[in-house]
Amino acid sequence: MQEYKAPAPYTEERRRFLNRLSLGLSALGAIIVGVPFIGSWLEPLLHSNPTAWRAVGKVDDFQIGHTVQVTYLNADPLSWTGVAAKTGAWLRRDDATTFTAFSMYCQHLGCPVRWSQQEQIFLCPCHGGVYYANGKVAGGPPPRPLREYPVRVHNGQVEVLATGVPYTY
Amino acid sequence: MDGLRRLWAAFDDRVGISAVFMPIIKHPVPPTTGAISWAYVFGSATLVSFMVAVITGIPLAAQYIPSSGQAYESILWINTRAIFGYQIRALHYFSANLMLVMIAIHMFRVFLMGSYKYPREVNWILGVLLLFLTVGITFTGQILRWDQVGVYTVMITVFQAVRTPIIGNWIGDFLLGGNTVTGVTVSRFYALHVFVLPGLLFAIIGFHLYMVLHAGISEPPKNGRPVDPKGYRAWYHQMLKRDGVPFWPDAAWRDVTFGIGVLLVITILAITVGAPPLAGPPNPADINVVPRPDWYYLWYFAALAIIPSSMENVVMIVAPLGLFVGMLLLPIWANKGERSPARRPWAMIVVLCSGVMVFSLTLTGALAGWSPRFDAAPLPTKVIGATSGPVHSGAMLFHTAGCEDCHSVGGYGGLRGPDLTNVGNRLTSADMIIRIMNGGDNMPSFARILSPTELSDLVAFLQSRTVYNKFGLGGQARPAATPPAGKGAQRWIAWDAAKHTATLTLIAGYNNAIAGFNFNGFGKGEMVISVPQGYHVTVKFSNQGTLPHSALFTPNADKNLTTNFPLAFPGAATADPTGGITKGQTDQFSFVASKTGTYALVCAVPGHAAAGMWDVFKVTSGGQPSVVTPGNE
Repeated sequence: MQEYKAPAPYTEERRRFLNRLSLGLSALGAIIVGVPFIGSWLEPLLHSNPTAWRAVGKVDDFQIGHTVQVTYLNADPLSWTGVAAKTGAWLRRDDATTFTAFSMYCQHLGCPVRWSQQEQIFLCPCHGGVYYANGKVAGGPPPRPLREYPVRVHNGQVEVLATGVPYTY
Repeated sequence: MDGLRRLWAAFDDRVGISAVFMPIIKHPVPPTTGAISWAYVFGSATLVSFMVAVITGIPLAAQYIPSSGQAYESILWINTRAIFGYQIRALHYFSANLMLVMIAIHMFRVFLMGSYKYPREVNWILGVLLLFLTVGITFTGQILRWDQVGVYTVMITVFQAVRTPIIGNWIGDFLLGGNTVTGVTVSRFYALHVFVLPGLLFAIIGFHLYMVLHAGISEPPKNGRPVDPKGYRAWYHQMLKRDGVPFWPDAAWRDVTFGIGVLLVITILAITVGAPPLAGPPNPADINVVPRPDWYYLWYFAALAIIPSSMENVVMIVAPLGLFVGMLLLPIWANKGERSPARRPWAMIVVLCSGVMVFSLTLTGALAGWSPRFDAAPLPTKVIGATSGPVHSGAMLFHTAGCEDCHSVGGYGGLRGPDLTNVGNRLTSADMIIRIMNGGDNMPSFARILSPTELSDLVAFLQSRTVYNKFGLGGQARPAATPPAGKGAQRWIAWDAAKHTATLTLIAGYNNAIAGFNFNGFGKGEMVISVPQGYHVTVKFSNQGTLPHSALFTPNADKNLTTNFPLAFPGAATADPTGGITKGQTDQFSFVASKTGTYALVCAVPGHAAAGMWDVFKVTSGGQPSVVTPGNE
């Protein structure tokens, strides 16, 4: 074996510098991969939330005074979302031209409320939240009324404004 | 043989198993004997469960499509068509179950034995992180089923998370991957469940095990041997040097034996119980879903249901955060002193209370009495006790108007509201009408929903719900109040002139006079009852009418009130003047007719006196008691 010739050791000052350099470069590396990593996870917070008018049926499909469930595509569907892109609302025809749409998600914890025509109330199966026909809380734990969605009649079609799931505070 | 041995020796020389790993595997541990030595197996049992979950998770990941649109179809295929698919799902599910159970027992053990104290504080903190990661990974796993319950589990989670102050809405969007269920919702939970959380678990488990080696496994606690950070390390190492036994195999055999036991339990449960069932497709627009968490989160589900609404934000946000932070801080707050549970009563109380709480809340959650029962069957005739008439119509309404969703009668119906099996004994018609019309607490008002006829049918049905009914006597066949024998109005009163006592019999709703608003058949002042001053009057009151009634003696000027009648004499009324008693019930009261004058006998159930249910009561300065009615009958 050839004799090993030791190189001159680094000075303490140089070691301090190399220590900082290595730590700094590591931090830079962490930032280079960290920014897209975190940015991608936060993507849903960065993109704006669209809304869309969704036709739910012809005006005459709805009986005055009746509240029925309508289902439609949510406002932000991706082509591969499948059946999970569906959402719905409780739609009531108040008179010839006016409609009221209520979110089908209970304001307590988001379970789907059911309309009872006989009782004229919305009932939630999870914790027994109850709402009157006008969406006001009648009983149970919901902290606020059912969310109302805008409805319009457009070219003879009833259209509900699809927005996000109404959980925002 | 010799060749093999030399091959091994060469390999070992290059790899360093004997030099590096053997000292670790055979590191000295405190000697234990008896039952206490089995207390140390739950950590490794948690690890065994986790490994089973990881191993079974890999083939599942190879068959599962993490897409909001296809996840459900792929899991249906795994569940029904893929060879071993169902079995692997079952193993994966029960390994997660056992992991939660084992980590809970392990933490209770470490807490009870004070093993989190110096110098093992950091290992406790790592354990707390592992616990919350385990909760997270089991929870995201439930969501990946991506059936109807899965999609609503996400929804419920989001609705809880958004209650966080300031950043709540962001958390909601973060979880969903948008502000609605989107194509990436499942993919995000998949990445969390399969990469992020297991990665963190592996890293922290490694750190946790390293800490076991570095700080040493805790010796069994002993009464009166408190931990003193000053001398503990030196004492511990001395003890190990003197009495320590090699971890392998002296202690490890128990870990292996128990770990294989856990594996067997997972397998047996997977074979006998099977994979968790799948609900319908993940359609957020389908209302026919009753979301329920897996059994191990039922207690939290129950807690959310039974707390007062005003405390919800506290329980949803502050309590989990507080628990997390509190558990993290525990070893910093109490890192020395007694370790023995016998000397730490508060530790015992905490463990007992949490155990009882989780157990009872789990039972409560399984029953979910607060959830309306939309599928309640109509009441059968044997419960109704009538096949026509108002009671029957009311019973039909009880089902169709939705009362039965929340109230039960005779074991049929929901548990959200009070059981109404015997409500006829508790509430008067007036009470019922007020409650039904106005609602209350958690009940909606039915004022605009029920017609007057429907309301009266419903009340008739509810009034017929009494203990008599329970014994199969039906709404009608109750013991009738019997008037005293004899004829003439005078039979209603009996007296003893020597003792100055009189006994008055009053039967409310005696007949149909004044639509039933009568005492002994008389109202609107038709009956005049007189007793001399100073007589001790005992009133035997019973009700024979369909409505509830009461009896109360009030000053004559007050007889036109509708409610809050003042008493003419102390004690001169039935027990519940406003509510009255229902048909077939009796009541008795006594008073002293202390002051002469003209008074009124009224039914104090609101509105009844005004309807004519009042008669005249006179206290005379002498003479004999008497009852006078028109025609003296």
